[in-house]
Amino acid sequence: MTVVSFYYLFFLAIGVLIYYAVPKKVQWIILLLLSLIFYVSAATPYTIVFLIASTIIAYTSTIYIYRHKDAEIYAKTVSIVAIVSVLINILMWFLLKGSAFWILGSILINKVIPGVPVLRALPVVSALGMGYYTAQIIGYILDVLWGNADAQKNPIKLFLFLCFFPQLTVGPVSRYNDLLVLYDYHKFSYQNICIGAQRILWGFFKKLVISDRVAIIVNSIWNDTTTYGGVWPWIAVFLYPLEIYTDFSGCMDVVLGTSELFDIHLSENFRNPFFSRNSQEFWQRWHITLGSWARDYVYYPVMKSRWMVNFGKKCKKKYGKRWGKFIPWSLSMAILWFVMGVWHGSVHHIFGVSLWFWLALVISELFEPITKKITCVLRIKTESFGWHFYQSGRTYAVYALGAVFFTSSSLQIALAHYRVLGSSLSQLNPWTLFDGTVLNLGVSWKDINLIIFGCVCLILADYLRERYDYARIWVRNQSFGFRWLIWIGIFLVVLIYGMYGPEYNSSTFIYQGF
Amino acid sequence: MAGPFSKDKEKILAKPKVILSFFLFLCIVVFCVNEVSYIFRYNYAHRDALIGFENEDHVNVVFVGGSNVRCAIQPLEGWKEYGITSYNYAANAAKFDLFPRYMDVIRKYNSPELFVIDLRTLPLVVKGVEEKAIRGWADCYDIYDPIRIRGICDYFFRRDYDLNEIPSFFLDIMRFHTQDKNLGVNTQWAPLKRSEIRDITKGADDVCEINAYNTIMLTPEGKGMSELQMKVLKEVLDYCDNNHLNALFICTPYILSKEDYDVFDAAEKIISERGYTFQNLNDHCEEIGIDFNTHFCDVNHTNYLGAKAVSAYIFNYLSSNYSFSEQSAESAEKWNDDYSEYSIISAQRQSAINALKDSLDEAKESEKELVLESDFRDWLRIANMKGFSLVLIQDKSLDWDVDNEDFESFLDTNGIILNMGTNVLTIRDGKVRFDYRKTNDNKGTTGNDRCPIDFSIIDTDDEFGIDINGVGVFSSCNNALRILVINNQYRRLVDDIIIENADGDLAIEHIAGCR
Repeated sequence: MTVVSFYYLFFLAIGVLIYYAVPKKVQWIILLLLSLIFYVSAATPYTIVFLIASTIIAYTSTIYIYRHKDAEIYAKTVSIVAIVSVLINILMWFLLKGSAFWILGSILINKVIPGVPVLRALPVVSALGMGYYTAQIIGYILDVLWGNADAQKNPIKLFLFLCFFPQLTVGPVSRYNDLLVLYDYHKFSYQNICIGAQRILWGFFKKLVISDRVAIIVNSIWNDTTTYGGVWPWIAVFLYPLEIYTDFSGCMDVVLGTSELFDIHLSENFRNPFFSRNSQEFWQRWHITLGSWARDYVYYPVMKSRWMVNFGKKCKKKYGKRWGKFIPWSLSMAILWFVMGVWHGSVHHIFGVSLWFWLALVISELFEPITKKITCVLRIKTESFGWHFYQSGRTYAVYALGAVFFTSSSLQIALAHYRVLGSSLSQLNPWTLFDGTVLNLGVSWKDINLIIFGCVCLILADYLRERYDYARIWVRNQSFGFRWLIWIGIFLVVLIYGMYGPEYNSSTFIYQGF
Repeated sequence: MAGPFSKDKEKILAKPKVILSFFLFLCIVVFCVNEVSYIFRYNYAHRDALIGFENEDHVNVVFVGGSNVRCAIQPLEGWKEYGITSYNYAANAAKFDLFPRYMDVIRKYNSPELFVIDLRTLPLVVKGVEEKAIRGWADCYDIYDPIRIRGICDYFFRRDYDLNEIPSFFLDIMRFHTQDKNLGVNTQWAPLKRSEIRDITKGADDVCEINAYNTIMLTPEGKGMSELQMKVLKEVLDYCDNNHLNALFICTPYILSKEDYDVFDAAEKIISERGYTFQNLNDHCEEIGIDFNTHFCDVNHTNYLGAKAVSAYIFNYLSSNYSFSEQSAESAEKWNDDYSEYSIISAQRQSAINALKDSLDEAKESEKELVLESDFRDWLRIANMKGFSLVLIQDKSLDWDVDNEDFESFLDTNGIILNMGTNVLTIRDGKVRFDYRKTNDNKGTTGNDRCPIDFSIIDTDDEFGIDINGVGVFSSCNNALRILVINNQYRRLVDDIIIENADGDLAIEHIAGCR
C-alpha cells in the first residue's frame, strides 16, 4: 500500500473514524495499530524487527542516560552509552541500506589486495523508511543526552514515535518533542478534517497531475539521448526539479494532511524553495526537517567541537578574520554534506548531493562580497522583482544541474548525462520544441496543457503561501461558493486527469526509497 | 505542535450549519463522481438496453442472459405475433452467477410474469476473472447502487482476483478516466439523461453476418458441471424459489461442444428436481428450422435469420404454455409505436442479410469457375466477390516492374505497395483487415479477421508463412506473391495461386489441391 492509493484513503477513512470513536486514553494505541497495519501492508513484514531493535536500543540507552546524566561520576559512561547506541543504529542502517558503500569498499580493497573477497549485499530486506526513522532515533538519543528532551518511559510509546505511519516512508524527520502530541488526547474537530482533506487533495494534485506527467518527459529524454539531443537534455535537466518537487512535496502534503486528520501537526518540509534567492536559502526551504536535523546533530556539534574551535582560531590567526570564519564553516559544511550524501544511500549521491551542493554553497559564500560590490556599483535594485527573479532562476539552475545525479542510477550514468549536456550545447535549436518532437516523448498536447495548468496553479498556491503563510487561509476567507468551486474543481481535475488506475503503473514517490 | 487553524476549532464545532454543509459537500462530491463516471465509461453496445429497461412499462416476460439472448430473441416479434411484451435483459460476456443481481434490477423497475433464464453462460462460469463479464453490467449503474455493489462483490468473491484491481470495479472512473477522446461523441453523454434512454429493439442485436458450421463441435467428452457451476445454478434456483418467481430455463442455440452438452444435461436434472422447466433449444433445432449454413454469425451467436426462427419458436412455446396479462390501451399503443419503428429497422436488417446471403450463394456458385481461371483479371473479378476473403503472402520485397493495369488497380485499391515489404495482408469486403510487416517486434502475432479467419503468423529463420485455423499452413514463395481465397461462409480454402511476374499479362498458377 502506498500513500497514493485507493486502499490508503480507505484505510485512512476507517482509521480516523475509529480514532475519534474510541476513548481518548487509547487514541495513541489506535495510532500504533494503524501504523502496524500500514507497515505490514506496505513493507516486508519481518523487517519490523529492525524498527523494534532500534526502539529497544534507544529505549534502554535513553533511560540510562536520563537517570544518570546529572551525576558527575557517570558523565563519561553516559556519553559512551549515547555514542554506542547511536553507532549501533548507524551500523544497522549501514549494513542494510548502505550496502553500496561497503560493497564498493570491498571491491576497491580487492583490487589492491586480491585475496580479500568482494562482499555481497545481505540477503535481507531493509526496513521501510529506515533512513528517516534512523535519523529520528539518533536525534532523540542526542536530545536526551543534551537535556533537550525527557526520556520516554513507555517503550511502546517510543515505538510509536518511530513508526508513526504518515511519516514512515517519506518523512518529515520529526523531533521527539514535536511528536509528544501523539500521546495526547485529541478531540474531534471538523476543521482538522477539512484542512487535512484539503491538504491531501492538493498533494494528490501535485503528484498525480503534474509530477507523473513531467516524469514521462524527463525519463523519455534520458532513456534515449541519441534521438533526443540538442535542446532536449537541457529540457530534461530543467524539468527534473519540477518533477521532484511536485513528487516530494506532494507526498509531504499527503503525509501532513493525514496527520492533520488526527489533530497532529508535523513540521513543514517545504517552503516554496524555488522562491529562494541563493543556495543557502534554498536549503532552508527544501527538505527543511532533514536540513535542520543535519544542522543540529551534525553541523553544530562539529562546529562547536573543541577541535574545530581550535582550528578556527588558528585559521583566524594565520589568514585573518574572514578566512578564519570561512574555512571552518566550509569544512563543517563539507562534513554535513558528506553525511547527506551518505544518507541518500549511494556512492554517486555523494558526488551529486554532497560535492555539488557544497561547492555551490561555498562559491556563493565566497563571492558574496564581490557580488555585493558589483550590485552597488551597477546600482542594481536588489529588492526589485526582476532581481529576485534572476536570483531565483540562478538558484533553480544550480539545483537543476546538481539534480542530474538524482536521475542517474550510478556515477557513470550521471557523468554520461553531463557529457551529453556538454555535447548538446553546440546543437541547441529551440525550434525543435515546436516541431512535434515533444509528442514522441509519450505525452500528448493534453498532457502538456495539463503540466502548464498545473504549474500555474502551483505558482499561484506558492505565491499565496508566501503571502498568507498558507494558501488555504486565503481560500478559507473567500465566499462559500468560490471555496467549494476551488476544492471541487481540484478534486475533479485529480479524478479525471490524475495518472492513477489500471491504465498506469502504480505511482511511487521518488523519496520513498530512503 | 499546534496547527495553523487551532484558534478556530471550538467556534466552528458548535455550528450545526457546518454539519449540514459537510453532508451537502459530500453529496455534491458523490454526485459529481457518479455523473463523471457515466460520462467517461466505456460505451458498451448493450448499455442503452440495460439502462433503458428502467424506462419500460410493464413487460410480461424478461429474457435474462448474455449476448446469446441478444442475438437469438427479437422481443417485438413476440408482440407482433402473440401480443406478448418482452425484453432482453442481457449483457455481453454475462456470467450465470450474476443473474440473481440482474433479476434484482429487473424486479426493482418492473414486475414481469415470467423470467426466461438462458443457461448458455453456465458452462462459462470459471474461477478466472473476465473484466468485461462484470463491467458490461456493473458499469451501467450508479456507483452507489446497492445491487451493483452486491453484484461486484458476488462476482469477485467466488474467483481468484487481484486485490489491486478491485477498487476500479467499484469506482470505475479509476479505469475509464483516460477515455476523454470519446467525449466528442454525443452518445457518451447520453447517460446524463438516463430517464430518456430507450432501446426500441428491447435489447435485441442486429447481427447480419453468415457463417456455416457443423451442428456440433468435436471436443472431448465433458465431465458434467463443476462444483462452482453447480453452486451458482442452485443459487439462481434458490433466488427464484425465495422470491416466488415464475421461471423458465432455456438454452439458446449455438454450436455447442460435447462438454457443454454434458453441463446442460446435468443442469436439466437439477432444474427438474426443483420443479422448473428447462428447454434446451439445441435439441429442437429441426423444429425451430435452424439452418446451420445460414443462421449463425459465429459459433456462439445466431444471426438475424436465426433470431427470427428462434423467436418464432420461443414465443409460440410461451403462448402455448403460459398465459400473460394483457397490456393497457396506452401501453399497447406504445408497443405498437415501438413496433412500427422496429419494423423499419427489421426491414433494413432483412434486406442486408438477404443481400449478404445472395452474395455468399453467388460466391459458392463461382468457386468452380475461380479455380479454372488463368487470367489474372478474370480471376480477380471473381475473387473480389463479397463472399470471399483474400490472404496475400510474400516473403521479401517483390522487385517487380508492375505493368498490368488490373494488378496495379488491385494494389492501389487496397493500398498495397509491393516493395515496402508488406508480408501478410488480409482483405475482406474490399478492406484491408490485417497487415503484418516482418520486423523483430511482432513475431508470433496472431490476427483475427473476426469471422471467418483466425490465424497466426509463422516467422522464423527457416520459414515464413501463415497458419490459418482449420484450413492449413501456407508458406511464402520466393519472389512470388501468393494469394489465398477463403470462402467466408464456410471458412474453407477455395483457391491458392502464385503470381511470379508482373510483366505484361499476368499469368497465375493455381496450386494443386484446391477444390
